[in-house]
Amino acid sequence: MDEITRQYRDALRLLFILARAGAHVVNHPAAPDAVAVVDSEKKLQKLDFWVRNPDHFAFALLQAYDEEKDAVLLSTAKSIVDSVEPEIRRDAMQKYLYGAYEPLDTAAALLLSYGLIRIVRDVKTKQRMFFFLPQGLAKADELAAQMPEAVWYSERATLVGRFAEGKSGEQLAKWQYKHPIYAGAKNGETIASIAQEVREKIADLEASGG
Amino acid sequence: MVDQDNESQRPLSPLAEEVAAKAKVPVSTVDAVFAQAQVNEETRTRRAESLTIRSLLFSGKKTSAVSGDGPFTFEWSSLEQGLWLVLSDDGNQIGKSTILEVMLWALRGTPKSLRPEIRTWIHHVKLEFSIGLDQYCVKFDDHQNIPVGTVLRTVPGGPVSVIASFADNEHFEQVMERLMLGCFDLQRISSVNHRSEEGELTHHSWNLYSSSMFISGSHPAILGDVTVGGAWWRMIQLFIGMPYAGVLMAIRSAQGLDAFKAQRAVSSQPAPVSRFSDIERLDEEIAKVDAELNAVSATVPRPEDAPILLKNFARQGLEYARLQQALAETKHQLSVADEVVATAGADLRRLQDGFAAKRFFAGLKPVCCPRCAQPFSNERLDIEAEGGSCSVCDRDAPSDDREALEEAIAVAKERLEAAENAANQLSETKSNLRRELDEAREKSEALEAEIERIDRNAENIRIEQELRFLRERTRGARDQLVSLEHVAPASLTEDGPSDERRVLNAAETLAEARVKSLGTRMLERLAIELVEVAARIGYKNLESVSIAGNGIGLTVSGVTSAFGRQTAGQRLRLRIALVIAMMRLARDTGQGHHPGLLFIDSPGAEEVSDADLNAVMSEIQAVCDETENLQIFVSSARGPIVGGAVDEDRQRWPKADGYMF
Repeated sequence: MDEITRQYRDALRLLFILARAGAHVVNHPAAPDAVAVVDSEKKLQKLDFWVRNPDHFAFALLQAYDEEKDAVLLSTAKSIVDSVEPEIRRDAMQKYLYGAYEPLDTAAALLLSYGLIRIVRDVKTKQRMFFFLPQGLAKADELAAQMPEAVWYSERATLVGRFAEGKSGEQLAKWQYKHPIYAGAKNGETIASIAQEVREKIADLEASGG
Repeated sequence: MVDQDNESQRPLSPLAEEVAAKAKVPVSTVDAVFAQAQVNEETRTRRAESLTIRSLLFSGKKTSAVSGDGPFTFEWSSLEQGLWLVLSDDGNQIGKSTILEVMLWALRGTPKSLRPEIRTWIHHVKLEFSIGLDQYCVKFDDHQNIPVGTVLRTVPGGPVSVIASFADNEHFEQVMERLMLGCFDLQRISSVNHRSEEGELTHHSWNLYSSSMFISGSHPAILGDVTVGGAWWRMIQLFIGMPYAGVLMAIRSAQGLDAFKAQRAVSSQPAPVSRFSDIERLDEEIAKVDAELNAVSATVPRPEDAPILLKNFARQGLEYARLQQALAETKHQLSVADEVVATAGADLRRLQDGFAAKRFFAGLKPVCCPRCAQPFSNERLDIEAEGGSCSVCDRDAPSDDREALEEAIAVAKERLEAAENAANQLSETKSNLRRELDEAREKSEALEAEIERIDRNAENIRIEQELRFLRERTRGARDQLVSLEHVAPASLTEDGPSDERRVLNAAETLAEARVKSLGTRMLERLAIELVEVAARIGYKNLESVSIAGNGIGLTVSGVTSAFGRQTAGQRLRLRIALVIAMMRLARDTGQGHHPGLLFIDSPGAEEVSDADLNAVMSEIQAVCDETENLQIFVSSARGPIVGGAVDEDRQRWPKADGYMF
């Protein structure tokens, strides 16, 4: 059942990750017309993991709260796990050699064929850079305004993008490895949910006065 | 102290003469009274000589399957003064105590606590011991509980002589009593037998004295095993040889007998004085008990309810357990149902998202090949627009599967709805069970409270019964007094006291004065020795002891206390320390009457820790060596702890089969 529309759903999510979490660019040498870019597939995979696993993203927010004591981080994490998001919005990912990974080619191909993105391999780093084109941004904004199903993706990608801003794919990978469930998952194994643990951690924090 | 020493050095006139002068009777009258009362003026001091067991042999045949059938012989020779141990490693009922009991049996002429079935195994006993320079041997056969044997004595350089022979239990006991009382110059301790019709003196003798040699556990008396009649106090005085102590005891016994006879003589006589005040006091007591009874009866319980309550409580407990089980199961089912709801919700969400995304992308026109990124030709786009093949992959053009998707979404919604309904139902079941569980707990608690109330009331029943008994006893006493009050009183002193009573009264006063003036110093020295020995064998906080007829007073860590208030371990230490202290006093003064033999059965039972027990035994050994006139036998099932106190040749352990013999 899921498979009927899987590639469209993945393309929709990818569209919003690039639109809301990509770094703004103007006159980039590799794509002068692009308005945003995610400069490596690794980073794209890590952003995708947090969008697909609200519980792991809430855990990352809690860790940031432990360091920065910014109450917004705690309240954001709490609003995520207090809802049914960790169960309803979860699209589990498998772990491969360097963390969560799932081929994005099919979803990216859709966006490519409609002329919404452009993929360029960096000459120096050999990394695939995902450029977001103005047509893509126009469509994303249009969707966010008109299609109820698109709203959650727009908002979550915005949140994840803000949290990951300025960090490389490698830095995000290290962050995600901080949780033992993530770090301990074997190659090819599904990374398990940690929703219950995060809920308990937040309850403890609240009980101890934050 | 100096005055007392001077006092003791001044020659004392014969007691009989002083008594005659004080009682204003002829000396011959005093002599006659003294003879009847068995009061013997002291004429000599006994030189302290202790008893030392030299060897023990006993044999017979066991008839117990547990201990192994067959003939046996136990022999322990080359014994001398000092500490000797009968040990096992945690083994009981293997014959340790029997060894001590057989020694005591031969010395007393009658067994003390030897188990009857063990006695039937023993057919022959031979015990050799010495008192001073004389060697003695008691040997006898024992069949069907009848001992037949002889007591021999060997004088240094002289022949072996038969002191006595015996052929039954009573005779054997008399023989040993005569021998021991003679050897240790001990007099018979008398007391009035109040149960006798006519009144008579009962004599506690060697059996009583020998009980001071056997320590098993923490007996309430500091010396021996008789708590009544101040036997321990009399024995201490006689053992340490307090001057005139024996005389005073004999006089007091005679006085007691006289008073008892007088009381019996007048018991049918009218009451000498009015008992009105006593009757009034008893009336008050009865009124008080009545009031207490009324108060208790107000809360009289209904114990007959208890069985019903207990039954209901048990039933309620079962119901509570059932509900707990049901709740646990429902919780599990609910968690499974919640997972089903989450899965159904996620499935629906994915379909809805995918459906919306597909509609969106279907509305767009492909502009380039995702593989080479080259734009498509208009021709391919036109072909697709006219219903031909896909402009991108050249396959059949994408069909409109909207209906199929909508149906799939509808099915997913139904599944979600069904899952939510199931979860809601379970949630309701859970709430109901929770409520029922709370109710069941409340009922259980109420029943528990009711049972506790009955339990408390049971105590009230006991109190009520005790009060009723007290009321009846008090009423009985009152009725007796009332009946006596109606009989005319008569004077007992019509003719004044008899000569005999005057002699005894005067003798008591004079003898008591002599005991006090001559014996106080001895008791003080004994107390000092006692404190020192007790401290060495583990009674660390004991500061001082006062020994007197009204009890043993102790000062422990600055607080005064009494022997009876000590712990079992402290009492045991004091009992051991007293005998050792008496022997140390005898060694120093050269006089004394205690045999210097001590049997300690299972001291470990009164001790807390291994270290404590080990320390106690090591100190007993050290004290024993210093004192030189002591022989101590100890049995213990904590052999590995106790054994370190002496050399191996002073220890007896079980044979290979686990038994001592």
